[in-house]
Amino acid sequence: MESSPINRLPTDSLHQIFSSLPLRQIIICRSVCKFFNHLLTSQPFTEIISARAPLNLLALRPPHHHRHRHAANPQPCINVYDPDEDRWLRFNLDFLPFRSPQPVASSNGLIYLWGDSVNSVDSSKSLVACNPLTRQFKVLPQLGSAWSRHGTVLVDSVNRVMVLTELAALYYSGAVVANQWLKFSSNLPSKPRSPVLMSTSVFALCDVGSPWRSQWKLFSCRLTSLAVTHTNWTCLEKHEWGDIFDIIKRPRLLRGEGESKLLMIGGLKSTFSLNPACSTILILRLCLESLEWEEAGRMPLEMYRGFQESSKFKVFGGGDRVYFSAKRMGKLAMWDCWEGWRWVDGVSGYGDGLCRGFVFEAKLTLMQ
Amino acid sequence: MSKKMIVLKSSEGVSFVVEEAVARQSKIISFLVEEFPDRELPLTNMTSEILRKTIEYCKKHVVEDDGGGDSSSSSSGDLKEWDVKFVAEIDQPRLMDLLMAANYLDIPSLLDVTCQKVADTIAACNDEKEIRATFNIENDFTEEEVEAIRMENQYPI
Repeated sequence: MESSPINRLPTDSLHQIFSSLPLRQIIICRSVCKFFNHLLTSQPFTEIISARAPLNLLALRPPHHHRHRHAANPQPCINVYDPDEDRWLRFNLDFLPFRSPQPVASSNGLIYLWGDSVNSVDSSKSLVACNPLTRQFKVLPQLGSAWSRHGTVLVDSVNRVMVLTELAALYYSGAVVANQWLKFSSNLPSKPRSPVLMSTSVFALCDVGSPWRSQWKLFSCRLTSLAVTHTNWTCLEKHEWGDIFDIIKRPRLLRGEGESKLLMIGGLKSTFSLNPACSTILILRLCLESLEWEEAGRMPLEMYRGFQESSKFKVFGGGDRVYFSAKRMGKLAMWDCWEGWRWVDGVSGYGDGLCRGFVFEAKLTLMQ
Repeated sequence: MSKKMIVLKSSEGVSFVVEEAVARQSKIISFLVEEFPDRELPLTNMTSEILRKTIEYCKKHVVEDDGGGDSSSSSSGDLKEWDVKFVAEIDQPRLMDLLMAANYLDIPSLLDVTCQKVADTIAACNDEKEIRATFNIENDFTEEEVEAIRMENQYPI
């Protein structure tokens, strides 16, 4: 077979052609032939398109397989939902030299995951940053095993990493002190719930109530004050907020649209009684500039019926879209801040169906 | 005032006589005309067919200073429409040749139009198989390699 005339085109022209294509199409083109794959993963081409807007995807954390941990799982991969095309995709993670990678967070095209080292028998895990599209990865400096068990991994838009627990936080900027985690003690009153890292601050909910009745408060901590040795959390409160934390059962936070909106999501209590039933799920939006709350979304009742039966549900996503999963549901509920609510079908492999995930902004950028 | 004409010669040795203003849209020809005035310019890597097409494009796009030519009356909208029709009528192998000619002769607007046409053709394909079929590209991956690269369109297992 004579080689295709497209292969004879000069590199500059090929760059011009492919750089005018949408990212989705570029990724498809990579599996056409070796020549395309080489061209489209080359440094010069990636530099041309690195400024391209990312694909806004949802990555699911892989299901836990506690009981059959050693069962053959030959192809570690990450399942990803593309809401714009309404379809599921799968990225292989087999380029990582780690066993059972557990993706936990993502920012700026990179996925952060815990991985068991292939050759060691000890239980310490490594935190790894990788781009499944370029199949590059970087192992972050080692942390103690307690961090991987209890810490929440947060990554900001310039890929500074924070691992947060109740008592302390580890911070890795890659720049401040070369290749080393900075450790800070923390002054939080309880275990931070659903922490969110936005441009210069971390936000988290803390229960300051009694063992019998929770009382949630919003705490924040500015990262600029990290030069000192402790993270200085302050309670964000305003008289005008009234009982906003009391109307939501099991609240959690997500990043909202842009860099100045925070979402709080939870069940809308039908009464103020001790253990009230919820009438639906509510999404509230806090503007971080004006410090004003507004209602962003309310799950339609016929959709909420599915969540009513299961006491536990998971909330994840962020930005323009929030996703909800519940036990034995087999599908996700999705809230889109522009288009409203809809179901996302095709989630499987999660046993009880209680899956979790995070926003993955897929980009073809190379790692530094 | 008679216009200055120059002679371009294709790989088959066929001579094309064109107005200098038309040929000067190619930055390479512009340069060559100044360096070697009054000489035939041999374009040994261009067939007569492609050279004819290239000249056709340049004639349409020439901007005449003296206002005497009819081509300057084309509005930019008309010209765009003409460009679209121009590349739509060319089959794919010739489109590639024309793109290479535009690249070789350094005619930026023709290069943009032909590159865009190729990009549109790729974008119209649904998957990598269709791209291979459209451009007659051989799949030189092993199955494992495809598995590793492909962004799979399938449900999680």
